[in-house]
Amino acid sequence: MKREVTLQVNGEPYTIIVDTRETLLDALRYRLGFMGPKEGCGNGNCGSCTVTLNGAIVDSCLVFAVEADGAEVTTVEGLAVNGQLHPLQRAFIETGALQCGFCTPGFIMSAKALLERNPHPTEQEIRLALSGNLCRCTGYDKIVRAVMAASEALARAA
Amino acid sequence: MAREVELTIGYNDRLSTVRRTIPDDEPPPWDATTTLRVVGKPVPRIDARAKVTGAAKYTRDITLPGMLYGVIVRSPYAAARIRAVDTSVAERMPGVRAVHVLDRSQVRFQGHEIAAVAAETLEQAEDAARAIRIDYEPGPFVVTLAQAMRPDAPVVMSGATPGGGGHVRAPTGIVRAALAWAAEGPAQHGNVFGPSDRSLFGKNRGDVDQALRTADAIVEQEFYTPVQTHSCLETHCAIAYWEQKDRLVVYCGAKSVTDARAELADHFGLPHSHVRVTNQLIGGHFGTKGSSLPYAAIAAHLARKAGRPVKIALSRKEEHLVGGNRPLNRMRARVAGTRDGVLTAIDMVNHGSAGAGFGAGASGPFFSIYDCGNVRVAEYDVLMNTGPGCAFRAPGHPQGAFALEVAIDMLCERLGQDPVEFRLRNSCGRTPWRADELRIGAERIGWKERRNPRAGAGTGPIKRGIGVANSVWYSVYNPGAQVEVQINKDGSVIAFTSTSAPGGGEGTVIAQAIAEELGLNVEHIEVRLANSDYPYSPAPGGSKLTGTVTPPARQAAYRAKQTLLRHAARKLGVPVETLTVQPGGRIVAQSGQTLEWREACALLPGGKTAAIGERPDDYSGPASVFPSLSMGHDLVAGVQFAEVTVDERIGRVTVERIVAVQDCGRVFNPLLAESQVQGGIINALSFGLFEERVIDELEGRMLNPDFLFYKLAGPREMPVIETVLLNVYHGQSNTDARNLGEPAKVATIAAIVNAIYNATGAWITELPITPARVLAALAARDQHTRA
Repeated sequence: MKREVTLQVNGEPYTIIVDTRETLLDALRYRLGFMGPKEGCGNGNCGSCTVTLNGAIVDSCLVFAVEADGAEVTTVEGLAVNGQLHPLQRAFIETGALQCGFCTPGFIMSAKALLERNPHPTEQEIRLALSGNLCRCTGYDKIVRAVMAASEALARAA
Repeated sequence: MAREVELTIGYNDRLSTVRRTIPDDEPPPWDATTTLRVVGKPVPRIDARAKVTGAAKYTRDITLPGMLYGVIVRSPYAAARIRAVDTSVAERMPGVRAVHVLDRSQVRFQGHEIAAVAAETLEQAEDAARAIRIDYEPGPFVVTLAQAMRPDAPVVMSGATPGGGGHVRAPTGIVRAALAWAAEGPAQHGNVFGPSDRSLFGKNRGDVDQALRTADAIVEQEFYTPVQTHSCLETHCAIAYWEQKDRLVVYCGAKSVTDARAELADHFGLPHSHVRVTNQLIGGHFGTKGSSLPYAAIAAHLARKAGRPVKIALSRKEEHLVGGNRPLNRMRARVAGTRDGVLTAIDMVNHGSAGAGFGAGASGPFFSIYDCGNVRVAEYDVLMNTGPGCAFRAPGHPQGAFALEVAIDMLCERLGQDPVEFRLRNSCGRTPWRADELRIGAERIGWKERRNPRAGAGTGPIKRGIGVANSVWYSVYNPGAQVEVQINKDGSVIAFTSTSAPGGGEGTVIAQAIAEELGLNVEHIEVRLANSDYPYSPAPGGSKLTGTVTPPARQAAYRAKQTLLRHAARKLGVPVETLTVQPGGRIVAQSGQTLEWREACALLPGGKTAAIGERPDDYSGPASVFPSLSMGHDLVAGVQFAEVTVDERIGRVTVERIVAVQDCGRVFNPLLAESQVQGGIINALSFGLFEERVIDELEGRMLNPDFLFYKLAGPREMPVIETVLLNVYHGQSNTDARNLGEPAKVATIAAIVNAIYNATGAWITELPITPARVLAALAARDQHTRA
């Protein structure tokens, strides 16, 4: 069964026809071309597909596209403004907080949501906020450090 | 055509000079005294921006016009005969454009491929796959070592040999080399192949029985390690299409696109030149993704029938079942020594299983870490009806080091020896820098001050302890690997080579070598990888990539630069020998005349010049040569220290801190190298504490093929990791880079287990270290104390 869905992605409005059993992840990737969110498990365990839905972080593989009707969605593609990277993106590059990079969009989205509700998290709070995301390559140490560095950079910019 | 050079080699303050004969067209080799501008610096990855913005493209992210989605139908049974496959219903279902049935009458493990379907959408393909009716005759199977080794056990594959024949999947890299070696012929009894007394990493030496007779103490202990799946975040994926009738193009996340090309061309009976395999980035490999078969071949069959591109992406469940894995091992380790602290015998028997495949050896650490003159191993490969194993980050080594390094600590306890002192005395002959590593690590972790002088000495329910373990790896490289460097008239530089980019920083180190040679910055160099039409370089496996590709990259840049300088010399009217390239690419003559980089490049006839560099052998030649790789004379050494707390009430182990001291030849990029070390440690910690493929013994099916019940370590399980990288110069190539990636995974588990012993006085001998196993070990300790 098909349905029409209207949603905003990274500030732009879109209207798409989706299969009712289609996930938000697949709609973002294959209907709209936002390939930042990745499918690592399809089961809500790895966090590679993390996006924000009306400001809340969700595993987009666990959300049906039809549930996002009327919603505002942000993917990792929506973070850089006019080619200017978000402080989190810069921090991930500078601290080397990625290797294969497949999990990176999910980590960045989870970290962004954390910093929006808690601009000065402790290391333990960062670890907790990222605990829904899995990384198989580089471990988590540099990712945690990158989030701390971004938090400091945001504080300086404010 | 060769010339002699004098090179400074060594480490820390132990430097010396050697004379090496090098090929005439080699650039002057960098040695311990060379000051470098780009190499050795923490240069951010060249692909980082694409990866943090979502612009990075993995095979799964590629959509071609008219592309169909393929789904593979797999056996739910561990063993069955296939009587019939009926695709008639599926073929008539909405959206279905092709159906393919494999030529297979037996399935040997859950997940074994039987048929496949391609449809307009993934959902339609899944529906059609469910409609394919397969008439199975389930047969007896074996999914544990105990079942497989029974004399009356059903044989998993007849006609299978480690060296070839009967394979369900072609092994690659280190495992292929190991198997070719083993093909000299271990005996077969049912599912059990062996014993083998040698491996890629060494062979039996000395007289173990004699040494055992004269030892002051002997420790004998059995160890068990379960199957670990690679669990790359990106699952295997391929997109295949045909250009004309007989030209195949495959986007496929294979770590060696040249191996994948050969497999696919052979499979379809095509000239290799008619097949192109390519990808942009790979979402991790850790040893798997070596082979394109069978999923890419199935996509190609479907694409040929449909006349359209077909994409097949494995689900997480499929990935756990058939995506490769680290074989399980049951090892009996025996070590012996004398009261004065000398290790006199190492003896080991290993029964390992790579399921319906081969390559479950774990003897590397037993041969390679200690100087001990008496070493004996007997290894058996046992077949089971489970998905075939393959290379996985340091094949056999985390398991072998777990058994050996814990047995060594048991021996130290028996002999009253300090584990660091014992290792200083017995493991620093072939790798003398290990002594520095042990001292540095001991100092950092606070070995003298913070370790319990007596195991389990602390009070209260939460016990703290410190442990140490050694690791070893090898100087693996591929002579003949090539890199092409193009300089264009606008000053831009491109490098081409066929190796892939699964995340270790492959492109970045190539860019660093070229930038250094040309006086440019890394941002100036574009690196194009993972296309089987490019010059050959091997898969980034065996931790051989940096040591294999940076020498030809530098050599190619050097040669292309010679061409550029000839044109510059002609323009300036000076002899070419008087020109040098300064940082920034400015060409300066002794006469004082200069030419900017772009001005010089604009002189190139036709707008560009290119040169191909080729990896020569190590300057001292290889120590050994195998079908898919060579090994240099030097070992890579590493030492790790762990600090843990154990909550004795609930059996929970928390790894608080790891200190890793690691050699990797020349440290090419400390930022990347640190990531490799940290990644190796977290992967090992995850294996040691959490991961286990659980198979139902009665049903023969995996019970945890997901990330919910197959548990990976997450951000909260990450210890504090201190990484100390040691530059060790060998004078063996023009960059003198060796390798990293695998070595960091070898010592971690043993260091954790030895720390648990120091904390509690209880030995862990089976993985993963679950609370149940810890509580059982504590109970055994208490019983022992009471007795």
